[in-house]
Amino acid sequence: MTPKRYAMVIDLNRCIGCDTCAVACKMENDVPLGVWRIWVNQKEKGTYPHVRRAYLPVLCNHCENPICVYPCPVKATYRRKEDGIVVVDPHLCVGCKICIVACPYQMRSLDPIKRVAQKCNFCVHRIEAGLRPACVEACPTMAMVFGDLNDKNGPFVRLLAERPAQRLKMSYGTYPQVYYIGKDVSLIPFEKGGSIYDKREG
Amino acid sequence: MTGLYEKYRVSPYYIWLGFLCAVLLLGAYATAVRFLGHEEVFGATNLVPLGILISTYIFFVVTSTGLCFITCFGHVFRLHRYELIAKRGVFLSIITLLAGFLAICLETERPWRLASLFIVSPNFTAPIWWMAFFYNIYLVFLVIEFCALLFEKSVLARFAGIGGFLTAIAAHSTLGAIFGLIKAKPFWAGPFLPIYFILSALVSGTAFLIFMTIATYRVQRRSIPTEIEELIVEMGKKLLVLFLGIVIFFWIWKVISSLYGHPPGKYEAMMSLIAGPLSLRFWLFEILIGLLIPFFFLLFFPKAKSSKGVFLASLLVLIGLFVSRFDLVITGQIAPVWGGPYASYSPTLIEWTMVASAIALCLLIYSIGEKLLPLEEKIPTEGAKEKAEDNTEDAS
Repeated sequence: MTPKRYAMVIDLNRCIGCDTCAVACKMENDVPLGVWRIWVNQKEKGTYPHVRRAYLPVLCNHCENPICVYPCPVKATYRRKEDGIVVVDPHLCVGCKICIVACPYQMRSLDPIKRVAQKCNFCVHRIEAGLRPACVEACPTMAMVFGDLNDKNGPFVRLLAERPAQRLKMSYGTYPQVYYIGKDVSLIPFEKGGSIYDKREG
Repeated sequence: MTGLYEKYRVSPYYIWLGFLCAVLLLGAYATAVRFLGHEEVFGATNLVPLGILISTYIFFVVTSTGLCFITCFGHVFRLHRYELIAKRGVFLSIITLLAGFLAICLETERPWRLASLFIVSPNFTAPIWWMAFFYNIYLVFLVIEFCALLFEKSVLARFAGIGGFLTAIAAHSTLGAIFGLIKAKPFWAGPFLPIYFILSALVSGTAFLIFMTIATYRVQRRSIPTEIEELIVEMGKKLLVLFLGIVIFFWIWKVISSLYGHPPGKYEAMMSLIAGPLSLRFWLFEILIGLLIPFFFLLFFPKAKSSKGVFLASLLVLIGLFVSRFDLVITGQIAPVWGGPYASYSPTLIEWTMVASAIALCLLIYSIGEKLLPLEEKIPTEGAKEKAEDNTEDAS
């Protein structure tokens, strides 16, 4: 059996910034107060009356080349060979926080209760039970699609083939596995004078 | 009354030890609050996860490495004058390393897992693992070297010194690589930090040795033997100035390369130092107090030729270096990743207490060691020197 390669497509044309994905994730994974595994970056674009709010839901990208995994001194975080999901083993983590620093997307955080690094794991417990991740399940506009890139004839691969999709910060060579359809140029990081609402600060 | 006073008079030495123990107790309290309590007591956030204890760790291990280099001048590289400060230097090298270990254990979220997991589940692609591996070997070499110096086994001291020197380079550059290999933080990424860490170790070690040696004699109200004073002043006037000059040179190019062409991430980080939230600390402490004032003072002022002068200069350098380590750790992390303002970090009282306890541990072991161990090299009298020269002539 060929190994799976799970990935996600987020259609930004459908995203309404309702934060349901963030709440569903919190409930499903019992994410503590002040910590998020997925959130929606928001930015107002243009001036009145030509104004629009752009949304960018962000979560762990489960990179093919996960540069956050290499510096972990005790192999507490690793990319699963069977499906490509990057996970953290809370029983091994020593809480040195180097992986939190090493993620170029700042998608890792410290679990203030367990005192270990934590991040999105594509709801691996649900996937193993044949279900979809909680955020995908909860999205009211079905902006998030989850699937297997190795299933060449599946609907997921067809969607990616039909629609132009982008990934975040490809310049780091991480090959992220979260694809965005309709990514707005105003959401590109490092934009001068840019100000994107960050859930973790608000 | 005077008799009573004499009877219960406590020597200042014990008051000093008592004070250090009190600081350590406060540190123990802070540790208990951190690890037993449920509230987050550190100023670190998910945007700036590494805080002042990491920089304190760097400060101490950088100093330890530098002390190892300087002491190696004597019994490894055969610059015999430096043998005068070998024992004190190696002893300081051991205790600064221990203080560093304390700081990093307090910073780690689950330090009790460190020892077992580093052995059971090692990750050979992780610089942290290699750093821990090299520093532990380094510690063993240092202890052997120190014992050999105490028992005057010069051959063993030399071999242990060589081992310590090599592992110090390995360990310390790997420490630089922990930051240098993090591609996500452009301010750190690249080969600059491993190289710079080795260089700044020389500054740190020289300044610390000068400071501690002179401070020890001053506190004990003894005059410094002429040979040692000459050596210390020479270390300040020549070595420290040279190393400071190289650090200034390194920094000039680091600043230029971080600004030129607005490299994303790097530019924002460097601007936070030059004209951003960290600028006061950077210009006042890092550049003025830590680099420029001691550099020009040692270079041009005739008063700097005394032990007082080099003492003052080394104190300034140490203050500057402590702030410099802190800024290095923070600058890399505060640049915005998703746009927006700089992230902020300021250490809490608990963190400051832990930093103070690491410093107190270093001073406590030193104070006890200075009393119990023969850290001073016996300086041969003129008669003994002549006799030794006669002997060498006879032998040849």
